Amino acid sequence: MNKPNASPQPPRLAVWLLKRLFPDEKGLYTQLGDIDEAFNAMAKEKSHFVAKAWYWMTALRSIPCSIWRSLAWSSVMMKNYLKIAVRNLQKYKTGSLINIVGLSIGLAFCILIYLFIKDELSFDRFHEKADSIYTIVTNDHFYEYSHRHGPVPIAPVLKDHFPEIENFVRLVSQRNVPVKYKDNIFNETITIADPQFLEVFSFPLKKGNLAKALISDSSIILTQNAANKYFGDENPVEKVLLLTFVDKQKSFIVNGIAENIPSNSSINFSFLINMDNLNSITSSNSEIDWRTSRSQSYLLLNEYTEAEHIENRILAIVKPYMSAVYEIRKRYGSLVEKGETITYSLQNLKDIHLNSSNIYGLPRSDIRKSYILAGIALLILCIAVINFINMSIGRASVRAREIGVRKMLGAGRKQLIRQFWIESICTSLISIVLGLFIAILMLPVFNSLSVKNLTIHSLYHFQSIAVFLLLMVSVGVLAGSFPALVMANFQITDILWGKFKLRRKNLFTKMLIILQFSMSVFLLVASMVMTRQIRFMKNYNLGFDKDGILIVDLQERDTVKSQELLKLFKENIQTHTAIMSVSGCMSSPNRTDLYGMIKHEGKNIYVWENRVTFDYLKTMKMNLIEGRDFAIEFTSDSSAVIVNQKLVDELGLDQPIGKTFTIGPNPPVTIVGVVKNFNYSSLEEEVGAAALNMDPKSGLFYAVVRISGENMTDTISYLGKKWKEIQPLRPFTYSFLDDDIQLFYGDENRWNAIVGYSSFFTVLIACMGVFGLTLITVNNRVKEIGIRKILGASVSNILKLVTSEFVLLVMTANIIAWPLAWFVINRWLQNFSYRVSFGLWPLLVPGIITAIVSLLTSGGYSIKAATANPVDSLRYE
Amino acid sequence: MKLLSRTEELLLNCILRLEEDAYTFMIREKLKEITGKTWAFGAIFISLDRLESKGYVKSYLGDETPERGGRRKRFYSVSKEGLKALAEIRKIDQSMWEDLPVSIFDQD
Repeated sequence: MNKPNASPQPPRLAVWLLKRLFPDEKGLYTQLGDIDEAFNAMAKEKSHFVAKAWYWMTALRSIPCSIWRSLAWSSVMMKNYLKIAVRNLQKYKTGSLINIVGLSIGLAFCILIYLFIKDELSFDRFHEKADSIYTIVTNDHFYEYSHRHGPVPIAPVLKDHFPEIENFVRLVSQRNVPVKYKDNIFNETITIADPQFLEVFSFPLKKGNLAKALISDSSIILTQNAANKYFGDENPVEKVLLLTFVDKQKSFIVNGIAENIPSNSSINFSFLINMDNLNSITSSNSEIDWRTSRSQSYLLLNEYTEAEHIENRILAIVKPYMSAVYEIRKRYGSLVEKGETITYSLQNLKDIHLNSSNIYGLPRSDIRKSYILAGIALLILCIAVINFINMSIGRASVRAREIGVRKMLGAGRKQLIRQFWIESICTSLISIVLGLFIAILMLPVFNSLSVKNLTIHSLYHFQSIAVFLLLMVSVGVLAGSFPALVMANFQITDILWGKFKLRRKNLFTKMLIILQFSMSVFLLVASMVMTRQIRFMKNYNLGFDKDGILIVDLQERDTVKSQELLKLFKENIQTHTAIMSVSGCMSSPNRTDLYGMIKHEGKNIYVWENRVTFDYLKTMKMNLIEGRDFAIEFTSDSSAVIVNQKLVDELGLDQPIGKTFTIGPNPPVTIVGVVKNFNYSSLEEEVGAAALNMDPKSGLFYAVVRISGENMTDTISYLGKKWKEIQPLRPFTYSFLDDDIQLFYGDENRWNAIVGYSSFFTVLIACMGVFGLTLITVNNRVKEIGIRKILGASVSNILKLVTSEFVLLVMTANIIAWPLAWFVINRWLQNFSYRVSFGLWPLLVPGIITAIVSLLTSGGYSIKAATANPVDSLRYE
Repeated sequence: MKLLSRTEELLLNCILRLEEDAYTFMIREKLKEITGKTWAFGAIFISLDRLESKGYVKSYLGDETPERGGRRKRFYSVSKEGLKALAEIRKIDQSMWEDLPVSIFDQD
């Protein structure tokens, strides 16, 4: 210290702290003076250090008490804010209702989408060992796609070579296996698995011993649902089920009941049997068959192993076994000059659901779905928030006086902002409660649209509640911020002198309305185009008549037997008058597809092959352009094909009839007829080359029956009766061809419904906003309207005055939204090879709809003001 | 009328004793003298505030002094109501102890 007699100074930080704790608006700090005096006395008496320490103590000790006091004060203010908030909600009932309904619809959408995304992200994470379970992915470089099925022996071979692999599980699914218990017989999908399945995956058993349940080759595990279906209330354990594989029957003893598979599981099963049964299903010895990709394989790695470490070495081990497969492919004339046309990679179990864009074999999803849905939900919420902001600003001039008085009484900016936030959070609190109710009510609809099985239970979760609270507060703060900032900046003198005017807010409000309607128009356009495209695909002429055709699954995979069964079935039903025509085929749209490859002048032509029988063209009503149909008279028809125009073009044939070509390694075939192009797959894809043959070495798996449109149910039950007579062990399984084809467009139909609903709600909420604003505008301009009327304005003049502004804004919104909508929707349309032209209608119709609806909503209330007696509005007390 | 608390009683007593010199620092010194204990400033501030809001004391601002970091003193004086309350509590104190012999505190 420079001056010897200078008094010691108290620590600065502590002084600052004390100043905060004992606020003194006049800046006198008399209390601080007392503490300083004591400090000086102590410094003189004892030492500077002790005094300093004491000073700090005093400062720190005051903290709890002063916090308590400030809380007590803010709670007093809070009570006042809440009171004003509730009063305002009650005073402007219509406005509050519009805000709350809009926000609650927006929040309901957000809640549903949150549940959706949460479900998507939770897929397969319930397995305790999920981090270490990997699936073997087969990458086919020849056909350029990947799938999850591989040779049955691959997993055990890999386990023998890699000590890092702790365990493996193979799964083979067998569809259409008749399962019989007493009189109940249904076709089921049976999952054949290694007995360690239950230990590697976490599918808990309700009844039965986890380790022993699948040990024996005659034991079967059912899920609870499957058990209920067969046994009802009986105890299923130790009961005997009769399964039919190919033509052998085998008894299985129920040895365990599994909990129902959670909806967020990629792996699904209802009936589980031991792997030893595989050979009784397949004729060959699967355990050494490397040529057929039959099983899904899962590897359980130990915790210390990186998947890449094993992945990189798989090929070297598998190669000797696969050489035969590679050889066959080389004979096909592989495009891949050298090297392996099939490789294997590993994928973690948790990545299956969202990360499998090019990997087939299990139901999968796309993260983009979540993004689009989240975008739509936020859009709706945004429109509702804009309503709130616009109406708060619209009401600002009414509330300006309140703000002025508050400011005059000493309310700071922060306090005013806090007040508005509390008001908006109140609104969003009510909205989220209502939104939860709406979400719960809409859950069934949403489940069917999103193909999910979401339940209300997922709402009662700590994380969910936290998210909802966050959503509520952020919506409240967002909606309250702008009005709060605008009003907190009012000049007191302006307000109280009555000079108050808001010019800039008007522009801002207009921009927000334009934004709202642009979003609504965008969704409307999207919904219109989607509907048109779907209708277009429904009515598109596929090259055959899809209506009135029944596809009956013969459930017989043996070549000769299936042919005999079809013949028998045909003979039995043909005579019925309602049955126009019967034929058979090996594949049908949305059923098993078979593709072959033709090598032609150095290029490869992929061709859809279908083994059919007589009358196929007649039954399907396909149009023959050239040549003839198959006929019994021609014994050479076993090596004949009927091709479509596309294949003729691809082969570059001028005179196709009588020409021959070779599909894959098969013997050459002769073209006897050409049909018009027909679409056997989704219209997203362009029509492909197709060849129909009568190869006796292929089975006929489906009967194709054309029935007349009258008394369809009678005809179907007749068919069922006949089926029972010839195939008592198998259930009658059929579908309509047009339903099968509609399945191609399941996703499109669902998206269309989702966009349709959303566009409806956006327009609804946006129009509610327009209504609310009209209400405020008209109320603010009651006197003006009265004077105009006195001066001779007609009702229509007044109407024009109020509504023209909104209609103009809506038109502007349309003009802004159109190019954007056109751009985005056109990109979506590009997915389809066959699509509607965009045209002008999908743009004009939403424009007209929004214009009319906004005209009606704003006009409805203004007509009341326009027809009112001006005396009422102008009378001064 | 509600009775004074012991702290309030002590504070009023000190203010009366200090007469013209009753500001917080001196009050604290006096309290130490009487009770033999060091009092926290916070406790004194709050009690004085409370007394003032009840109308038992009046306060006025004094001069700045260098040992206070240039800050002014706030002096306190007991109001009429304060005196009344103090008189009442004194009466109660007296009547409370009157009949009890001092010997009760002698243990054994």
